[in-house]
Amino acid sequence: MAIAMKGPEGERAPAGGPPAELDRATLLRCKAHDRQAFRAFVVRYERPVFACLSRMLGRGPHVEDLAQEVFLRAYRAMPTFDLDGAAKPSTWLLTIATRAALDARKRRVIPIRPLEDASHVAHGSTPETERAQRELGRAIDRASEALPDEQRAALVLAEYHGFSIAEIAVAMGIPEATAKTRTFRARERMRALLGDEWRAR
Amino acid sequence: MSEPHEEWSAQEPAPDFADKVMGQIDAEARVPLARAQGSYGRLVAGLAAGVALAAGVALAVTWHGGGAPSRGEAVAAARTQVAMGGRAVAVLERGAHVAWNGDEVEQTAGDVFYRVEPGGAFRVHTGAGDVAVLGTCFRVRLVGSEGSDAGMNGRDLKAGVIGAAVAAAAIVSVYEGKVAVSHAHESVTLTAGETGRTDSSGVHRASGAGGATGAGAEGAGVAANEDPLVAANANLADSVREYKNRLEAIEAQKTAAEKQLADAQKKLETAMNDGHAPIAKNEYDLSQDDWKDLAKNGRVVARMACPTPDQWNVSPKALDALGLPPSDAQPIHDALQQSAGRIWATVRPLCIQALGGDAAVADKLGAGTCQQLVHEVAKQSEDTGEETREVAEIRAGILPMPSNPKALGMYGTMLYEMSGESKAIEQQLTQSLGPAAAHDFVYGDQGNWCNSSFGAGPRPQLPQ
Repeated sequence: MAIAMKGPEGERAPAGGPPAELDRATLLRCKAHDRQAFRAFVVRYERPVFACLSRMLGRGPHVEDLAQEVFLRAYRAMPTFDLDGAAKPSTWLLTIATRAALDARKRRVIPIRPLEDASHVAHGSTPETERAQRELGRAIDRASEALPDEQRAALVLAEYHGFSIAEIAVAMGIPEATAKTRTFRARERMRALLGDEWRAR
Repeated sequence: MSEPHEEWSAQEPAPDFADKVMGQIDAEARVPLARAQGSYGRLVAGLAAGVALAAGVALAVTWHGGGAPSRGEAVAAARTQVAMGGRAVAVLERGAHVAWNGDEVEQTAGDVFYRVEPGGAFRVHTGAGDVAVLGTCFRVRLVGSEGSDAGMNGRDLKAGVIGAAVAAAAIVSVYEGKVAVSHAHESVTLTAGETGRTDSSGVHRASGAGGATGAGAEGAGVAANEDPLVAANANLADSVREYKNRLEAIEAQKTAAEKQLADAQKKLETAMNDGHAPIAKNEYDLSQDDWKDLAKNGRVVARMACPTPDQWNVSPKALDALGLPPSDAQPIHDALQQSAGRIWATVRPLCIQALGGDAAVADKLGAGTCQQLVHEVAKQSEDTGEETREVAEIRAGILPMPSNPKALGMYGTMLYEMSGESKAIEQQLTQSLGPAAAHDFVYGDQGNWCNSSFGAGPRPQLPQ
């Protein structure tokens, strides 16, 4: 059975926003611990996992360490993942990532310091807009550092990975009402810290 | 809904990240039996203890990457255990013959017990019918046209003749989960405790494998008292239950013994601490043996002073919690400042090197960003994973410190410096606070620490 792949590496998902999911046939092979299929799974979801972890914990080598741990946990748990269940593979995987990130925080395996100068720059941007984006990126980094871990995790899942309140609750192991409050407070705080730069949504 | 703020930067995975993950998975797969869990896992392991591995077994296997062979063939001259790919273990009785390719198994002779981990479909094809499972324990026994076992005799084995015995029927016993037994267009689902028979007349449900259920009501079932093979299977199920009970009893004894040992150790530690309860060891308080454990997994951890000056101050409340006077704030501040200075003295030249000689930019970036930059640049030109392993091995005393410090590479040099800082701070503070207070401060929660963990995974095994 062929695995749906783009080139030998498979297709990489975007870092932010909900990615298109891996095809069912490949996921079935992942469940059977097919090596090639799981490699395609890693390639497909590595960017969202890195994005999620680096925004929750700050950039640095610890992100790669933790991302490896996340994929290992996913590999071990893959046979029990229900393809017909409510959770999409990306939601399931990012739930594992979120729990790993919060656990790492609790164990104080924290980054040395977030990398400050690494904003995305859109193609075709002018030096002025590029500078403005960098500055905004730094401002968001600083503002997000002021959030408690749980609020930041909720914000990252809601804003960047398209999680619903119910999905955030499952990912963080908290009641939906708590998830809703944390997401709301995180957004409020970002607005308070960043003013108009944090778009109302 | 508007687009999220893409300006909030996200770290990109390295191009070889997927390979690293697969390397870790391969490393884990090299110890497949150690991971056998649950009572049936223990049962298989227990059976394996009595198995004469490779005792006259003809085995031809093909490995794809690490772990158990994904393709192979085995003829058992004695009871033999075979791991099939990553999720199945089969115990072949004498005379059994199987050939497997991934999750497809061809059983042409004998009696085989299968333990299959949950996952996709796993199929056993026999001349008398097919068995499909998703994850379970079951046994397939082939019998010849005269009712004798369709196993191989010594001559067949010696000659390596495959397919010498023609199976007229397959008896399938299920111990856990459920399986589908099919022949031509007919299929019967068997659940735990049931036995079925498939032959030229079709598939029939028989009696319980473990005696838990009665004869099947569906189809032209074979009653237990009419088929000696069913009785034999019931005996096997009894044996399985007995093994299971014995293993559970051993497990209970082991748990009780472990608890007694833990209690005794706790009492000993308490006695050695003048009656005070022992303090749990901090994960950064590493002995050489701890480093050896980290080195096995290619891991380096570091606790060090943070680069920003406001984090070198310790609050009066924290000092009070440590039982230290307010005057100790100054030596602690100085020790942390000097730690940050040592790190910067190591990282700065590496950062300048990474920036192509631009010291002004390095100074502007500062220690925190420079550490990330050195890592990013080192990844392009160095084997940072190997450097991580080497640093762990040097700390563990397995490798000597290279006489030429540059041999560690940019990344390794930085990690070596960071990973030695907690001991250096402790040593310095011992002079002013005394050894116990210095230790409590460095490995406690009262200071402002920057902790880091770097994992490369175990060193990949070279092919034999």
